[in-house]
Amino acid sequence: MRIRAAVLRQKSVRAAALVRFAARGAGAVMLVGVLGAAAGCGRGAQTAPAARSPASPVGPAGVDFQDIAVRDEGGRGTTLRSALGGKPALVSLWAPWCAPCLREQPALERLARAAQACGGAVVAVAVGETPETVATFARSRGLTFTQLADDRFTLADALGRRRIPALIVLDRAGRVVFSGEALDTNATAALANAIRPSTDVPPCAL
Amino acid sequence: MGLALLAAAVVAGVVGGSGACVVVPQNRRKHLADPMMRFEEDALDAHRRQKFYTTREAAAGGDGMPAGGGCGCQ
Amino acid sequence: MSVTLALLAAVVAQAAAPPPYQIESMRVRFTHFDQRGRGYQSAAGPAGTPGSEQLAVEQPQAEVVARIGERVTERVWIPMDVVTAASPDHSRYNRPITDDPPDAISTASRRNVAGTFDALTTYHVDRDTDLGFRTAFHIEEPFESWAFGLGLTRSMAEENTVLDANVYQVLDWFDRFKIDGMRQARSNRSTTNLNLTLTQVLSPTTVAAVSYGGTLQLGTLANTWSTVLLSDGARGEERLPRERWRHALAARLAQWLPWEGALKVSYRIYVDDWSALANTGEVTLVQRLFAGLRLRASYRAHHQSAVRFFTKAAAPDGAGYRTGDSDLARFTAQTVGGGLTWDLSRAGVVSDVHVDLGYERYFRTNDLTVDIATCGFGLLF
Repeated sequence: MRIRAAVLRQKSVRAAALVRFAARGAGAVMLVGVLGAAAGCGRGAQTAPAARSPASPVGPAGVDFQDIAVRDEGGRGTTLRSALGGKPALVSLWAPWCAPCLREQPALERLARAAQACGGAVVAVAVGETPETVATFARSRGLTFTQLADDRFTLADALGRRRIPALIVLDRAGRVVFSGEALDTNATAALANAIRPSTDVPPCAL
Repeated sequence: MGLALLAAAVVAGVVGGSGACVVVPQNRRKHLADPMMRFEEDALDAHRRQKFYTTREAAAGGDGMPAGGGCGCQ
Repeated sequence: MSVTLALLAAVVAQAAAPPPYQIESMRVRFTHFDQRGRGYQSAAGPAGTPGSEQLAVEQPQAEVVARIGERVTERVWIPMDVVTAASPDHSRYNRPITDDPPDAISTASRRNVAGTFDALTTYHVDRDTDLGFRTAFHIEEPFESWAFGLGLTRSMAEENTVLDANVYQVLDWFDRFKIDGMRQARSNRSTTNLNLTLTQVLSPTTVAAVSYGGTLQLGTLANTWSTVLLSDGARGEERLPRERWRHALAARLAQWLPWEGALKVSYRIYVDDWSALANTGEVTLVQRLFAGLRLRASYRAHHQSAVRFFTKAAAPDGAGYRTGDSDLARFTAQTVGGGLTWDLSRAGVVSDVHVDLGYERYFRTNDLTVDIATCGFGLLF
C-alpha cells in the first residue's frame, strides 16, 4: 500500500512537472508572439505609404489625385478628372476578390443609372487589378457604369485608402465631400447633395 | 521531449516576432484572400478530419477546436 | 393627442422592427469511412489475438450561416455519424453469457446513429473584435453530451495580427457497459479545453499561425466495453486514469505560389500526462487549374509513443492502469490524399456554387487502414 502510494506520488510529481513545463512553454510562445507582433507591427516597414489626409489627397510629387494616371477598361491611360468630366460623382474602390465589394455591385449599378439621370456619375476603381480583369468582370456582371483600373495602387495610396470597399463623393469642383467604406444611405445622400445645383432645388432621388 | 518543446516555442516565437516587420494593408491581400490560402478551406471538411484524427490517435488539439469528449467515439 | 399617438406608434414600430436576416451560405457534406484492421482492445476474433476493428462510418453534415443585422452572425451546424461495427454485438438475452465478450457499440443494434446540433453566435463588437458563444448538444443511443464555449477574437495592426482565444466545456453522460455486453450503470466525464491562436501576416503572400490547445479530461475516459488481452489468453476490463492533461502546440504556414498555387505546411507536437508524445507534420499543395477549379494533394505523417500503461498481455491479477487500445499504442500513421474543388462565381441571388470531392487513405504501422471518401456541396449568397 505504501509502495503503491509512493509510486503514485512519484507519478503525480512527474505529471505535475510536465504540466508546468508545457504551460510555461506555451505561455512563453504566446507572450513572445503577441509582444513581437504588437510591438513591431505598425512601426516596422510597410508595404504601402501611410494613410494621408483625405481632405487634400495628392499623389507622388504632389500631383492632385484626380490627375493620377489610371487605365480604363480598354487599357487606355486616363485620369479620374477625364473620366468624370466635371460631374459630381461617387468613386468606389473595390477588387474582384473582395466579397463585400462584390455584394454591392448591383446596388452601384442601380445608383449609377439614377445618378446619370440627374447629371451625376458613379465610377468604380479596381485597385491592384489589370484593365483586362476589370473588363471581364464588368461584362460577366452586366455592369454599365465607368470602370477604371488602378493596377499600381497609386490612386488608392493618394487617397489614403488602405481598405476596400472604400468610397468617396466628389462635388463638381472635384473636392472630396464624403468619405466612407461600404455603400450606404449616407453615401447615397452625399452624392444626391453633391449633384444638387443649389439648395433651392430638391436633391435628386437616388 | 523538453528540447522539442523548447524548439517549437522558439520557432513559434520567431514566427510571431518576425511578423512585426511588415504591415500589409487590406487592399493588398489579394492572394491572402484566396480560398486556397485558408488553413482550412472548408469548415465541414476540417471537422471530419479533426474528428477522425481525434478518435483514432492519442494526440488531439492545437487546431483551435475542442480536443476530446463530445461523443462516444473515444 | 392623435399626433402624439401616431408618433408613439411609429417609434414603437421602429423599435420592434426585427433586424434584417440574411442567409450567407448553406453547405452539406457527406463522408464515408471504411476501416479495416485489428486491435488488442477488440475481442472480435480468435481467443488470445487482437480482434477485428472493421467498421464503416457514414457522416452527413449540414451547415447554415446567417447574418442577423449588422453585428451578429449565426452558424448552425449539424453533423451526424452512422457507425457500424463488424463484430456482432452481444446481449445476454439472446446468447449465453459465457460466449466471447463483444466489441460492441451498443446492445441495441449493430448500427449506432449519433447526431449533434451545434450553434455558434458571433457578435461583431467592432471591426477588430468578435465575441463568440457556442452551444452544442450531441446524442446517440447510449450517450449524450452538452457543450458550451466562449471565444474572443482580436485583430491588431490593420488585421495583420489576429489573436483568438476560446474556452470550451463538454459534459458527457453515457451508459457504462461491462465487457460481457451488460449495461452496468451510467457514467460521465468532463472535458475542458482552452485554445489560443496567433495568426500573423508575414508578407502579401505568406501567413503563419501558432496555436496552443490545452485540455483537461476528468471522469470515465474509456470506452467501457473495450477489453485488454491478458497473458493467460483471457480478456479483462480496461482501466484508465480518471484524469488526463493534454497539451498541443502547432505551427502552420501558408505560402502563395506565383503559378496560382498554394503550399501549406503544419507541424504539431503533443504531450499528455499519460506519457503519450506525438509529432505530426502535414503538407498540402493546392493548384488552380483554371478559373474556379483547383486540385489539392496532401500528405500527413504522425508518430506517437504509447501511453505508459499500454499492454498487449496484461497480468491477470494486475491492479494498475491498463489498456490495449490500438489508438493509444506506439505507431506511425500516414495519410495520403487529394481532391478537386470547383467554385462557380456568378451574379444573382446565389453568388457562388461550391463543389468538392476528396479521397484519403490513412494507414498505420499497427494494422489499421481507413479509406475516406468525401464530397461537399455549398451555396453562397
